[in-house]
Amino acid sequence: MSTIIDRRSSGTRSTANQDRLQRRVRARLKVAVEKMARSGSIEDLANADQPISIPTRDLHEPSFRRDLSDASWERVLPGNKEYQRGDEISKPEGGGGSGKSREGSPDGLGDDEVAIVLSADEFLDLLFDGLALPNLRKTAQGDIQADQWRRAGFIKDGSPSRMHIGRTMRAARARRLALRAGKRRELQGLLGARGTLQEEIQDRVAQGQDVSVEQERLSELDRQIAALERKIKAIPFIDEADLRFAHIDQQPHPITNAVMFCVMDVSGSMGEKEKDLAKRFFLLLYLFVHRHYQAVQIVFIKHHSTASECSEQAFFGAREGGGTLVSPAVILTEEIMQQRFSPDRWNVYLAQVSDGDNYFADNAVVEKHLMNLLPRLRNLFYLEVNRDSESDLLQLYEAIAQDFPELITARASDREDIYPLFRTLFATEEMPSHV
Amino acid sequence: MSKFLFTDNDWTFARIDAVTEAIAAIAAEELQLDTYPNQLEIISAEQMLDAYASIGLPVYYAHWSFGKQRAIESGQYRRGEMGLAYELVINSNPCISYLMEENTMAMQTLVIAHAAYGHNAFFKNNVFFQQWTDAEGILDYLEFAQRYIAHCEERYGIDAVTDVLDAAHAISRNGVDRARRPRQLSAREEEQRREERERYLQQQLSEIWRTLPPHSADQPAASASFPPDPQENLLYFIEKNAPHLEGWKREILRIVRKIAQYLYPQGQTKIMNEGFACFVHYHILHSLHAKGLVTDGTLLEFYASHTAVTFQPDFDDPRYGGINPYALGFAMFQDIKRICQAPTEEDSRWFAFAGDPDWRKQIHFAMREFRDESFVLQYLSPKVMRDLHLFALSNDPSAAAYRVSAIHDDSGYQYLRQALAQQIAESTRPPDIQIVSVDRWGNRHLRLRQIDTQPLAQDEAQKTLSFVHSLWGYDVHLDMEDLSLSEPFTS
Repeated sequence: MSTIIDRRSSGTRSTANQDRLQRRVRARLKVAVEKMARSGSIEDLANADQPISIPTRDLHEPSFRRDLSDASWERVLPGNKEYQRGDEISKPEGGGGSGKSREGSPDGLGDDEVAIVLSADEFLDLLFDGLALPNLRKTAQGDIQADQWRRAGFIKDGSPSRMHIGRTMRAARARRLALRAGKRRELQGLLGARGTLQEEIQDRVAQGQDVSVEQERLSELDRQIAALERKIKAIPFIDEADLRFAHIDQQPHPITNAVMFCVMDVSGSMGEKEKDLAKRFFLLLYLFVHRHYQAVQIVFIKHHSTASECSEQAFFGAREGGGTLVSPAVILTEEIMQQRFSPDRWNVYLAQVSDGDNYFADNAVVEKHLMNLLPRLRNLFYLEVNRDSESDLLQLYEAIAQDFPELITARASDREDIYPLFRTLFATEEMPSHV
Repeated sequence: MSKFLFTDNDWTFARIDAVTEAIAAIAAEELQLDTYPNQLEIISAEQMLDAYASIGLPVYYAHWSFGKQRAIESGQYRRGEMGLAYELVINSNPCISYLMEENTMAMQTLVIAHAAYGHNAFFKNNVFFQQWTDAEGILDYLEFAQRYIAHCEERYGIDAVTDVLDAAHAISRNGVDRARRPRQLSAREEEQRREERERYLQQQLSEIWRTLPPHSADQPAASASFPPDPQENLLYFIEKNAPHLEGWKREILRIVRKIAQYLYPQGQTKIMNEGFACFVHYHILHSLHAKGLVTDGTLLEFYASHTAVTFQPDFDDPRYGGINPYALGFAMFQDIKRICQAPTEEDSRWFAFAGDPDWRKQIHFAMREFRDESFVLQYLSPKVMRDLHLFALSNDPSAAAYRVSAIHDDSGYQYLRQALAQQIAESTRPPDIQIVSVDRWGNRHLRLRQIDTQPLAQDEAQKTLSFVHSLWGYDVHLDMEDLSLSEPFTS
């Protein structure tokens, strides 16, 4: 009459409703996401799993309801202690009676907020809403390979320290079984024949007949049996042919670590707007780089007339006066790379944002160091922001790019430029690997 | 040898089976309960949250509001602000009860007695459930609804479907037939009828909305009012009469209406339903203990849960959130039994059945024939009013103070009873808004009128009206006591 069913394994069924909820509040989510993109840290954004709060009033479901706050009503309440009929209870100040009842708040939920958790993909969809994410290249060009020792099966000779006991004993046992089997079978036959011969001898002795021929055959059989047993015993427990050795082999292996140097001009000429552009640029690059590698480290280098490594917060928050020199930043990058991110173990990317201001004599220094640095970089992305005409620095970079295609330059003056720009950057780069 | 069904607190399928059997025997022999076959389903907390989000229905179409509900509730649950119900039960045949996997065995026993026997018997026997819902067809129908709405989303887009559902949900509480018994549901029949409807509806509508000059004298006079009588079921009227609504939208209105209709008796019988289920579990747990089937420990755990559920905080307690239907319902059913078994002189004055030797008959009668409003009018006894210290408070908006209009004394009992019944009636009924006229031969304006006198929340009403308008397609007016809202056709 009663059935018991275990439903626990069937999981939840809320996905469809969740999707529709997100559609519904898409505009608000977008605002929240863009706010996070401005204020959140780059790494947090790329691994976004933070809930976004949506006020429930946005999701209010209206219906025809009564509003008794200014009406006459009568209510029955429990827990009377001292009241008698006709007693009067003064109304709470300015409360209009709403303080004592929850009926006033829609759904009885008050000002609760709904928390919506976005997956990383949903987050990006919102951040780049209206812009399709490009098909980022599946592999970066010419990934650095490093040789790595790997297990590669078993071989028949090698150094004793790599001998594989299990495999060796298995081979030995197989050999022993194989070599013994035929001889054992033969031995079995001989033993059988000997048995019958002995019975025959006994019969003949009992009947008083001559057994000399049979005795001779018997001793012949005994000789054969002894010889076989000797042979069986002679099969070695372990033989040189049984030995097995674990083999290791060198195989090329791509390096999966990457480091991204973010270099930005923080001199007085870089304002909020320029920094917002820079942040979006860095974020996109980070996301791009992150898709290719297991782990991506970011090094922030800010510079005006000197350069220093700093935290992300200081990086985007910093606003320092003074003139602008680009070479200290390039030199610092070189140093940090030398010390911590050797290019034969790391995929090194450099992303630089500047408004192009540079002390004109510094350009030569920059060129010298870049020539040195560029061969060891995977890419150098240079973005010039908010300038009407190309700066000398940009012209220098463009000249260098003639020889080094991994140096990529671009200009942007509006937030909206960043993303399409990014797309063209990678579209041009995609060509060689697909042709 | 001990007869205990279990002595420690872990539940197993075998134990649930044994307990259910013991409870079934008690329910049948001692309480003479008539129930649907039971289907007990073990679910996780996440699944319970899912079930909450869809009003406890096992299958439901997708809509953002259910996602919202779930996001709110799972947030509250994670923050520890809300405990989950120990069970959820669905008015269906077989009657499905959800048991949470976190429950202890004692709790599962309580839940089975409460839901699988208490609620189950109530669903099967209460006259409102019998008349207004179809336990046989509901699961099939919900599946049909889910399929159909998914199909519409595929064909017309999620956003278009959402718009219709939003509008339909806004007036779903005004989409219930309160006086007329609805037809029984059957999924197969439903599917066939749906197709037929779609085919003929447009044809029929063209008749209503014919604008060509009449070709015979038999045509109704242009001044004849339409509809002839005011219509209380807004969803039904719009589904049948909206001039330009596409067929699939009509079908969605119909689905929302059918489900609202199915849920309608639950809101009407909250106090009775919970009170009766508590009465049943209370009896069954004591009987199990008396028979030596459960330990003292189980009984104590039961008391802890039972008293927590039937606790009524006083009006001035910070925990107060209105009258607890469990507390009131349980007290009233227990009192019916007491009035039969040990009537006082006062009871004999108030109740004709006082001293009836067959308390089961009285309990069954009360459980079958009433809903909350009439149940309170009929059975709320002076003793229960005294026990709960009920009093009535009235508000005159112009006065500076509230006035105590009655308390639990001889002169107040009748008054309290009626006031409480009135309060229940109002809280379970949406504002009475009816369709009074359609300008059928002119601009097709739809006129609604609020029939009761209690004020509406204005901006809510305005928003709701714009939903009505989105379905109707022409101007919509709502006449209230002293003002009128309208939603002109703009798009």
